Formats: sequence, C-alpha cells, structure tokens
Amino acid sequence: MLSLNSIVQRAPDVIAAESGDDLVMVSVTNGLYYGISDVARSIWEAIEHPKKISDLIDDLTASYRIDRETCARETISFLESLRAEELLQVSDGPVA
Amino acid sequence: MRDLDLPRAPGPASGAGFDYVLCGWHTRSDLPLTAVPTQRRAGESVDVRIEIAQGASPMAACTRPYVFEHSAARSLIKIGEIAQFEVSEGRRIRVWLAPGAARKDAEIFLLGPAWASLCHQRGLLPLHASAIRTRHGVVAFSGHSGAGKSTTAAVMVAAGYELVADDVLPISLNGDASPGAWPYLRRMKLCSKSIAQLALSPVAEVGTRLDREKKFVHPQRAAADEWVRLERIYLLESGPGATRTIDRLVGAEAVRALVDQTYHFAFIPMSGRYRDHLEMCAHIALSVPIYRLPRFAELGIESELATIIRAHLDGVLVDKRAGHLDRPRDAL
Repeated sequence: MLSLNSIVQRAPDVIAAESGDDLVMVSVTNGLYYGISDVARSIWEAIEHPKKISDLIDDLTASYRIDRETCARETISFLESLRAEELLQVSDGPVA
Repeated sequence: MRDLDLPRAPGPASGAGFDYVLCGWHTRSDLPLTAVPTQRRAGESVDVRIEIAQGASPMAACTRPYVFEHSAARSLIKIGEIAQFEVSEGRRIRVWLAPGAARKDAEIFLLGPAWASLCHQRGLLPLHASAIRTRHGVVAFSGHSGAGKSTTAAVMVAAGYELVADDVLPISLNGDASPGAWPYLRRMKLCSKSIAQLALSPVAEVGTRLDREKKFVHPQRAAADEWVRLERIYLLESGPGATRTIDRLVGAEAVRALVDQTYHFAFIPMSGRYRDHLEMCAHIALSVPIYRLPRFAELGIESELATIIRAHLDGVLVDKRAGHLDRPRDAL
C-alpha cells in the first residue's frame, strides 16, 4: 500500500512516445501498451527520478486547482494502478 | 526510423528466376508468384532474393510444428507441413518447401509473415491493410482478418481508384519523414460472394489446402511503381460495439490502432524493436488522419459503401439514409 512517505519512480523498462497531448507507453516486461494524458501524464513526467509522494502532491496542488486531500487520494490511486501494471518502482527509503 | 540503406543482394539481374517489383524493390524469386505480374528492370541489381533452399533448414531439428523466431536481422518461420522460411538482413528469403506441400500454400506465408519480417528488418511498418490511390495519396483500409479490407478496396477500385496493395501495406518514411507507401501486391484476394457482387473474374485459386474459399482477382486499375504519400487510414470496425459513425482517432487511441494493425507484430517484441516501432506508430498517428469506419453491412447500407467513402474523402459527407455519419473534422 502506498503512503505519502513512499518514494516512487518509473519502471526502467518502459518506453514512451508522445502523440499530441497524449503519451503512449509500452512495457518491455509485459509487452502491453498504455496511453495517458492530462494530469496522469504530468505525474508520469514528474517521476522520471525517485520522488516522495508527498512532494509530488505539493507540486500538483501548486499547479492545479484541487484540494490536497482529493489530490492525494487520486494521485495515490493512479500510482497504485501503475504499480499493478508493473510500471512503477516503489521504495520507502530517503530520496537519493 | 527511415528505410535502411541496405547493401544490394548479391548476383546479377539476369539469369534464372522470376523478376518482380515489390515495395519498389527489384525482387528475384525462384518461385513464381501467383497473379503477380513479372517486371524486368533492365540493368538494375537485385534488391531482394527469394530462393528455394537446398539441404537442411536451420529449423530442421525442431519438432514443434510452428516456429516464429526473430532477431533484428534474422527471422525463422516454420509453418507445419507447408514450409520453412529464413529471412535475412532485409534482402533474402530462403524457402524450404515441406514434402508434398503445395507451392501456393507456401506462397501465402511467403508473401505474408515472411515478407512482413523482411519489411520489419528494413525498418518499414507493414500495416495489415489493403490500399487504394486517390489524387491526394494512398488511402489504407486496415483491420483484422475478416473485417472487409479486400472487399472495401475492391469496391473502391470498381469505383475508379487504383489498387496499391492487398492485405499488407508496407509504410516507409521519405526524406522529410512523411509517411507513404510503395505498391506491394496489386491483386485482390476475395471470397466468391464479393466476386459475384462486383461482377469480377477470378484468375487463380489462392491456396490448395488453405484459403480455399478465396480467389485472386486482377484489379481493373493498379497503381504505378512509385512511392506515394499516405493520405489517411480507415480502421474497419466489426463485431459487437462497432461504431456507427466515421470518427477520427487521435492521440494514444490512434497510436494503439497502428500497433494493433501491425502485420506480424510478433517481430517487434522478439527483436527488441519496441522503441523504433512505437516511435514510428506515434509519428504516423500525428502525420496521417486515422478514422474508424463502421461495418456498413451491419448498418444495411453496404451497397452505398463507395459513395460514403468517396464523400468522406472529398470532405463532404452526404448521407441521406443513415443520417448519423459525422462530417469529417478536417476536410481535404
């Protein structure tokens, strides 16, 4: 279960290409293709390097008009879906 | 992302074999290709060689009936009791016919998965599509087997357009990265019902054991041997949930359609070409409009197929009967 203290980063074996406003990704591990846009794309781009979820939410609430509680709930839900698809690496240690 | 500048296949242009121009490449084949006109280009060296191989194939010891193994430069394909193929460096296909196998049945796989592998090796995107040429460029009709690609192309050829390819359309990028296509197989593989409806004359059976319900038909009009810009792609919808409108796909959905319709996609993961392939699909999706085309037979307006597509191509969609088809968002 992810928490605000979890540190997340994109899985290394994911290849992405831009298509207009969307980002299309393929996981080399499972061969599946994914498409993301809008805030999901912003989150994906923000986790190129290890990032603490609470810091990610700080950035998002500064950029989008959304209350912190809703932002945290929806961001963690999205990150959980990334993890379920093996598109996310998670650790609980300090950010390098 | 561009077509590789590959060395020419060894051997002079003259000598034994049948000469064809496929995808713009001078192709010399030991096997005659059914319903494909031979074309001799004097003085030109051979780009692709199709050889009937002697001796044991690299898959001779393999007991599995089907083999599809790909690296970036070499593909091995074994089709049960039909044939085995080795495709190398984007310029040579060696064929081992199985004992008792019909040449025509082997040809189905030679010009399908084996040729698609050769295209992949050269950095082209073989799209599962039939295509025609209009005054604006190549228009592709893409879709899964049974979606109606050949029939749709045949209907449009009967309406006055030129056939560019049937079933496989290899897409390449020109010098300024515009997607386009050379003609590939300019003969249509149609079922008896379509042949009768369009009052066409079949010229040959497709297969002996395979595809027995289909026949080859020469198009009334065939595109000339030249690379032409890809104007648009229609994705033929079928089955439950098929759309009732001609909608444009954009963004990730458009890219996904190209990924789904990549012919012999198995090459991509096995050769580790995910990045090149994804970038190619994303580039084409940004450069070329892609539309979902409803299955008109299911809407009861199949007889108006050519009229509807032509109206959509012209940017003025007039649909008196259905009344639910969208006007295109980007008229030509």
